[in-house]
Amino acid sequence: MERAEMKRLMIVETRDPIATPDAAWGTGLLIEARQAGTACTLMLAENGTLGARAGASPSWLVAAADAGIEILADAFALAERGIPAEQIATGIRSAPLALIVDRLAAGDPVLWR
Amino acid sequence: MTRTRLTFLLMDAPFESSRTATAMRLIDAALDRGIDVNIFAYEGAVGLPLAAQTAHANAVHGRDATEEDHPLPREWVAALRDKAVERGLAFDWVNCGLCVEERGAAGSIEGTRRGTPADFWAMAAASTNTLVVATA
Repeated sequence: MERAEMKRLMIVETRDPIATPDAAWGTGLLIEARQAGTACTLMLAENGTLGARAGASPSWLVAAADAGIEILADAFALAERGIPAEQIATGIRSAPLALIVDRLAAGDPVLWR
Repeated sequence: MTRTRLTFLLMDAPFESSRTATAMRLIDAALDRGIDVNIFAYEGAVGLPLAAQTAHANAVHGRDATEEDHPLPREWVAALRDKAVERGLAFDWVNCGLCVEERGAAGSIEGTRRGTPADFWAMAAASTNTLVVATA
């Protein structure tokens, strides 16, 4: 079987990274994929956006940003949780959730966590 | 031109998880983009389109059922179904039949149907892409 080339990979993390240490698994996978040449995005959604707060981002999220992983946070979820744009950590950007649909429509693999 | 079609697999029961609302937002965004959608409701998610869901009053807040305006997932499903029809898009909602029987959850709203996990395989095979929104 021919091996398909994976150009982009997105993981959606919905769980609070402080309360759920397992959330780090996704960034580990993304960093390895990035090192293999795949463009990678971590989309924080629901309680996952709690990790986007400046001063509250876990070390593995910072490491992911340093490794070149695009880290986005659902604007709707940020607003729900009262996290204003100026409180988002460096290296993380607010983005619409619908970006997930765009990636799916483009054929990109998207993993939901 | 080939139409884009996305398949979503949902697993969470109604009134339990914010994943349900998030998944509905994604399906809504797909319809906004003119994308045909399939939804396979697995395990507790077969309760999402249950026609018997009823809004209730909130005695603590002193509100009747109308004032409380309690959100019902079956209304969300119906709204997405109607939006797809209005836009001429496919909206194929399939409930896992075994999951329905396990839960005694027969009686879904119009525009949904019963199926098997094999339907999910067929949906995914015929789709541009598939997103599995698994339970946490």
